[in-house]
Parts: sequence; structure tokens; C-alpha cells
Amino acid sequence: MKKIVLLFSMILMLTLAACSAPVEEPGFEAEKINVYTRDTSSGTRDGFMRGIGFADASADDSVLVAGFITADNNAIMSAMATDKSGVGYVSLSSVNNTIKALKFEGVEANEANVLNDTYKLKRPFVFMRRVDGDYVNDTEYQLTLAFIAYVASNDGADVIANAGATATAGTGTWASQVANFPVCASDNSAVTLKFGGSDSVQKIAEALSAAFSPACGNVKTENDHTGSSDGFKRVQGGEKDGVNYKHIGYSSRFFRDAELSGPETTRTQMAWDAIVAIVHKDNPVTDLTGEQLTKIYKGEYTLWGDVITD
Amino acid sequence: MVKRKVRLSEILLNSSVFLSTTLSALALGLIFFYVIREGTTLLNWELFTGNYHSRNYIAEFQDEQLQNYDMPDLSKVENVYPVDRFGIVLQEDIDLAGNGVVRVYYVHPDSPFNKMISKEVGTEEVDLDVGMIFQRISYVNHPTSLSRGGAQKFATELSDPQREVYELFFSDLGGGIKGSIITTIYLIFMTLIIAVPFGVLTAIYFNEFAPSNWITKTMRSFIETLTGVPSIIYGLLGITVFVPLTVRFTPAVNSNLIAGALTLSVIILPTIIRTTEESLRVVPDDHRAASLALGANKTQTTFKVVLPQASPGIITATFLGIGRVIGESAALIFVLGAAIKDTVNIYEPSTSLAVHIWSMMTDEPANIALSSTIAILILAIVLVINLSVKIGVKLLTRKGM
Repeated sequence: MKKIVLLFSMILMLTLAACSAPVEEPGFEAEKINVYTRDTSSGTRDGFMRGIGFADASADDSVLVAGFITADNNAIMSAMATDKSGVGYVSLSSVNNTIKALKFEGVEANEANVLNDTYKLKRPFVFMRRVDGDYVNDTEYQLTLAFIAYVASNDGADVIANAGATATAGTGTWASQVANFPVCASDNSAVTLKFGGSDSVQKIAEALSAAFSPACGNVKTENDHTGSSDGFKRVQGGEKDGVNYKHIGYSSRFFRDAELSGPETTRTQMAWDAIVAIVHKDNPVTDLTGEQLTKIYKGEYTLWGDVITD
Repeated sequence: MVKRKVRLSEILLNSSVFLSTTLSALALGLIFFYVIREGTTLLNWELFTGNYHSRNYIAEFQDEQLQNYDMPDLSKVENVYPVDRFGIVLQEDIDLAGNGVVRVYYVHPDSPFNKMISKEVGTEEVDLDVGMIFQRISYVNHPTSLSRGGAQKFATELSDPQREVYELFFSDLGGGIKGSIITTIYLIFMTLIIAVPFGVLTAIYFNEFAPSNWITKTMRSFIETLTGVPSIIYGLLGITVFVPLTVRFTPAVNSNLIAGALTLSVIILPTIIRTTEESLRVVPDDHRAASLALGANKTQTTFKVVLPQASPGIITATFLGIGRVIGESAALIFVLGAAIKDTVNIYEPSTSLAVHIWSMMTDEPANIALSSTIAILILAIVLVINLSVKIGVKLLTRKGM
């Protein structure tokens, strides 16, 4: 009896040894990809999904692979700092050394590459003003025009860069242009310019307002940011004569076809915001293409091995 | 066998009671822990009294004499960077909202920064004070120094003798929540002034005067339903009714504090009616009968006998209302706007503390630290309110007995 037991256990041990020998420690290739995304109201998500060529997913969660949907940039950042097999995306201004920023189509995300248009994964910061003749008085009209010229000037570009976005090239210093706007030579502290629209440009918009005020007769400014769609609605759309009307409406995406009713001259692009795909620091991947990202977000690639061997 | 089964289910029931309690306590404790851990870094008195919008200045040098100034001893201070050629010291710091800034740590009395020409309309001279923030400095034929690059880079670029300063852009320290605190206080008082009298009188009607028929019953159940209606629906009511109404009859031109207070009044009205009515109901009928027997009429009985006894309930209702006002955000974004103000005017839009959190969280990147600090403030206010309700009710009931 004892011999039989011994024999059996020996056979068992041998088979175990035989089985375990060829199987390696599961490497990174076998790690499942954990997908993180922002919610559908996010301008960053819209920019990212359009940028990677997966526009269907910009406002629809059902086409995405099951993953983590979060309403917060910081949540994605902290998730990438801890989740070794996660992938997500944030605005370039949020990137820090707790995570690893990936190249997109082989191009590194930085200011120079955004401006020379080699880095394609980006979204625009645009704004529109009220149409001509739709102002309470001429002072407000002139001040609005002066603001737009200020944003386009070198000074405006500096303010935008200082607030974390990549400004389109400046048109010269404000000091050299201010003479074109005689309204800025008078005291405007009794006038309030109202700004609204996208809340992801709030910080930049507030910085622009604060910088513009002393440059143009200390005009008062009011920034009330409630989302990109209000950028059109409260300036040229259905709410333009309502109680929450604005002089300037910002948007963190290009204005949609339905929002293009006003003349071309009322719309301006002021900056680019680069969006960066991010992963955990220990992740060996350094570069992803739009196609790979699309496959990851669609759920066609489920393991990191699929990406690496691709 | 049967006995054992009963015991098992009892054990299950008991253990689930304990388990749920532990889980609830843990969840609530974790919220407190998280908020306090994230928020304490920014917690200081200046945040509560400081302006959100910083006053910006534009200036240029009167004459840019280059000399070396005797600088203070900086060996014991961290993160400071002297600029010898202008006699100033810059410091890497954060503003009240926790954003990185380049702050002025020291200005030499003879520094050209102490006699600059303002480039604004109406002001002649301006000087740089300790504690101010540099936004940027532009140079002739050189790229502008931006505060984003940090104090060290800023100081190095400013020290470069090749660079001739063209314009200087600096500001006060910003990021405070003073305006939002004031707005919240305004909202609380205006809302209570409107809602409490209406609510209490309505409750008196329902409990003392209303005939007991189906109309009363239907109205009562409507009011009960209203306590559970999401506040965003009241926000719609506010923007379609109260905002146009206030624009029509007051100097206001768009969303404003009065409309906000009116909307909040409607939100807390059902709560006040319900709570007051509960406390009126528990006043013993003997007291009413006694009062009537002594010759008092119905009105005198209601207002002199019943109402004083119900006052603890009315106070509870008031404080519940205050809690609701402090916590409300969705409806207020419609009727009050999300514009953060420093000087609050009841005819203009502004932001309450809860909406301030919303604004900070929708920003990119979201400012979690400041949001948590405001959350600590709100929690503290709610705690104080709860304690004062308890103490107030205790004092009142002792007096009444």
C-alpha cells in the first residue's frame, strides 16, 4: 500500500515539474489593458477620439470597450500612477513625472511639435463674439474688438502660453497695436465684458481677462464658464438675448455646423491644446499610433502583448 | 433541527446589522479623511479673506540704471532666487488656490521696481510690493519670461545683462474665496427671510385652519412630493420665472442673487412646511382646548399658545433649510451663474461655495486641493449649524417646560 502511495506521489510530482517547466512567469505581454476615458461631456475626450480617428466614440460610450469612465482629469492621472496596465489620456498641460507620456505616431508631444503641426493629437481653443450690430452700445463693441486683437497679439500669446496651452503665433506686441483701438485710451471701468462657454478653458480665459483689463482702460470682466455648447448659445444662438448673454463665448472644440450661422469674422482660434496618451511609468510602450489607440479603445486589443507584437 | 435554522437566520441578521453599520461608518469616515487630507494644505485665513481675481498691473522702468545692490542674507530661506542687477528676490510659491506662482520676496529700497511708470489709463506711478506675483516680463528682441517656467528660470532670465526690460506684468495674490463666502451668507439670509414666514404660516394653515377634506390631503401630499424633487427642476423654474421677474422689477440685467434666493426659497419651502407642521401636530390638543376655554379666540390660541410651543420645530426647519442652501449647486448654476466675484452685489451674478467647488472641478486640470478646502469649510459650517440646532432646541424646550 505504502509503495503504491509513494509511486503515485512521485508520478504526480514529475507531472507537476514537467508542466511547470515550460510555462514562464506571465510577462507584461499577458497583462490585460485597462482602458480609462473621460465622460462624454469632456472636450478632452472629444479631441482625443477625433484625433485618433475614432470620432464615433466622442459622444457615445456604447462603442467603447468596457473600462473606467471618469469625469475628472486628476482621476486619470492618479490611476496611471498606480495601474501598471492602464492607458488613458490628458491635456499636455497636466502631464507631470508621475506618469509616462506616449508619443503619438512617433512624434513627441511638446509645444514646438504642436505649432509646426507634426503632433496631430490636439484640440483647438476657439471663441466667437456677438455679430456686428448686436451690442448694447458702441463702447462694448469696440472693447470686444480690442479684446480679440489683444488675444491675437504677442501679449495674448504669452498669457495663453503662461496658462498652459499652445498659442497660435502672435501678431506683434499689444503696445504697437493699442493705438488702433482708441477705446482703450479712455477709462472703461464702468463697462463689463462678459465671457462664457467652455469650462476647460476657464483658467486661460480668466488669465486673458485679467491681463486685458489694465491694458484697455481697466474694463471690468466677468467669466462665467458652463460648457462649450453655451459658447455659441449665449453669444449668437438662442440665449443670446437671454439673461445669461455673453460678449465672447469660448469653445474647446471647433464650432459645429449648426453653430456656424454667424459670419466667419466673428470666430477666432486662439490656441491648441495637445492631448497626450499616458500609461504607467513601468510600461515598456513608448509610442502608439491612432490606429492602435482606436483598437485599444474599441476593445480589439485586449492585452498589452497585442500592442507590442503589432 | 428547526431551532438551529432560526438561530442561523438570527446570526445572519445580527451580523448583517453590524456589517452594514461598519460599512456606513467606514464610508462616511473615508469621505472626511479624504477631504481633510487633501484640503488642509491650502487651509489658511488668507484664503477666506482674499480676493479671487488678482489686480493686474502693467508698467515699465523709469530709468534702468544698472548697479549692484546689497542683498539680504538668503542662506536660510529655501526656493528664493536673487536678481542682483535690479535688487529684488523672487520666490517659488503657491497662490491661495494652490497654483504655482513667482512671488516677490524682497525689493531693495533703491530698486528700479520701486519707481515704475504705469502703462494703464489714469495712473502715473506704480511700485512693486513684497508678496506680489510676477506674471511675465517682456524684453526687447528676446522671448518673454513666463511665470509658468518657475521662479528660478524667471530670475535667471531677468538677471541676463543682454536682456533689456520692455514691459512688466505683475499682480496681487489671487485665488481667495471671500466673494463666494459672502454670496453664500447673502443667500442664506435672503432665502430664510422669504421662506420661513411663508413656510410657517402655510404650516399653521394646514394644521390649525384647514378643513380635513380631500383638497387638504391632496395639497399635503403634493408638498410632500416636492421635498423629493431634484433641485435642477427648481433651477428651470428659477430661470424661466424668477430671473425675468427680477430683471423686470429690479436694476438687475441678468441672473442675480435675488433670483437665486427666490429659487432656493421655493426649494426649502416644502421642508419648512413639513417640519413645522410636524411640530405643530405634537402640541397637545388639551392646550388648545384650555386656551379656548379661557376665552381666547382661534387666532389668539394659534399664535400665542400653539406657535410658541412649536418653536423648536421651526428652528429645526430653519437650520435644515440653511443646510440645503449651503449645499445647493445645480439650480444655482442656472439662476446665479458660475462667475466668481470678489465684490458681491445682489443685482448681479456671483457664486456660492458649492458652485465654486463645481467651477474648480470642471477646470482642467481640476483643483482638488481647493475643492477639498472649501468642502472642509462647508462641513464645518454644517457641523456648527447642527450643534446650534441641538443647543437651541434644548434651551427652548427647557424654557417652555
